[in-house]
Amino acid sequence: MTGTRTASLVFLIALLTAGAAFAEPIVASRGRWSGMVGEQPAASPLRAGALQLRVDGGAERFTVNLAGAGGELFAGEFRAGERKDVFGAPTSKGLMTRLGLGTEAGPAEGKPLAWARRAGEELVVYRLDLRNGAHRLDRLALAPAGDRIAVTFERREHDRAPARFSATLERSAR
Amino acid sequence: MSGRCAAKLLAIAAALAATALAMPALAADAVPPLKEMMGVYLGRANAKEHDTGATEERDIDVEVTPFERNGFRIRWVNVTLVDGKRNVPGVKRRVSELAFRPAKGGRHFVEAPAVNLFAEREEAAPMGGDPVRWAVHDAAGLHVYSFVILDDGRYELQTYTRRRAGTGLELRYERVVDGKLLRTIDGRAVRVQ
Repeated sequence: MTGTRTASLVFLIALLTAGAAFAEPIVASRGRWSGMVGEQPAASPLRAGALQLRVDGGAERFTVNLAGAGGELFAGEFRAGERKDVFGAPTSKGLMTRLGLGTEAGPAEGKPLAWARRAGEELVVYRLDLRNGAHRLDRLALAPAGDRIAVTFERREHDRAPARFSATLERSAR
Repeated sequence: MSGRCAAKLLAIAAALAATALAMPALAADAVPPLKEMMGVYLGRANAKEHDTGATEERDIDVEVTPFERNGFRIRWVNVTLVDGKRNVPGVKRRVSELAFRPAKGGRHFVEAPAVNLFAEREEAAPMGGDPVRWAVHDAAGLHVYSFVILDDGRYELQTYTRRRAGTGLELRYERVVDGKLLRTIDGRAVRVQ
């Protein structure tokens, strides 16, 4: 009997541990986070410095905002789509499109394209902007682990070498 | 509309405006007329797979021609060589062609979809896996981009850069998947007389 109880307890602990190990990354990322980026190359166009990250919402719809010392680095709102673990931006068609008299603008016409994906314990959010003949493609990966979150940000722009940084942020007070 | 909703919309609008202001504009250097790029170019390039280190040599043939009033069409032929030869078994030939027209209100070009009189016209859906293609003509040369969101949400970005170089072009191709550089092709081509 004691053996059965011990086995059940071990199984329960294992189950809980496994659950914690595979925490849903959107829910686990929710909240406010802050921290510093380590040394960056002097030529880096990303003036990150002190980082502030905010993730709001739930696993079906959420927003992500990342700001550095130089201002906002990333902002996006996402909603679960048809594909598993892939999220798009909430749709908001204009009046002309709704009436069938116009066409919905895409990234090539200047409308930003934001999307996200969930991969295991990591949440990756993206944004493609194309304006004034130059594009900007941002990729922000978030890997939460308890009261810390690993952040990796990469920016690709027209005719520039990719710029990136990584940092570990800590949960900050709401 | 609730006050909270209006405040949220205002915040999003402000964020978009800030992003627009922060976006880099295309360099305002003197850009030679696009028609100077028009022509046929022949050359050779080396392709490299970055995950395996494998390389291959190829003959390249690039043709830039006018399209509609202010656009251009680009057609390129790649012949993958076998031991540096193109007249032996195993040689592969691939032809690609794209047409671009100026973007409305932009300083870039957008892909002109192929005309099919028998098919209903549908808008490209990037979230559905449709590629987004655009081109930029600047002082350095002609840059063509092909972007697609893959099934699992990762992205693939292919960049074709043709830089002016004396009597020809310097060619650079990059294939990046989710931030990782997988393949490059570097080469040179001269204008055909």
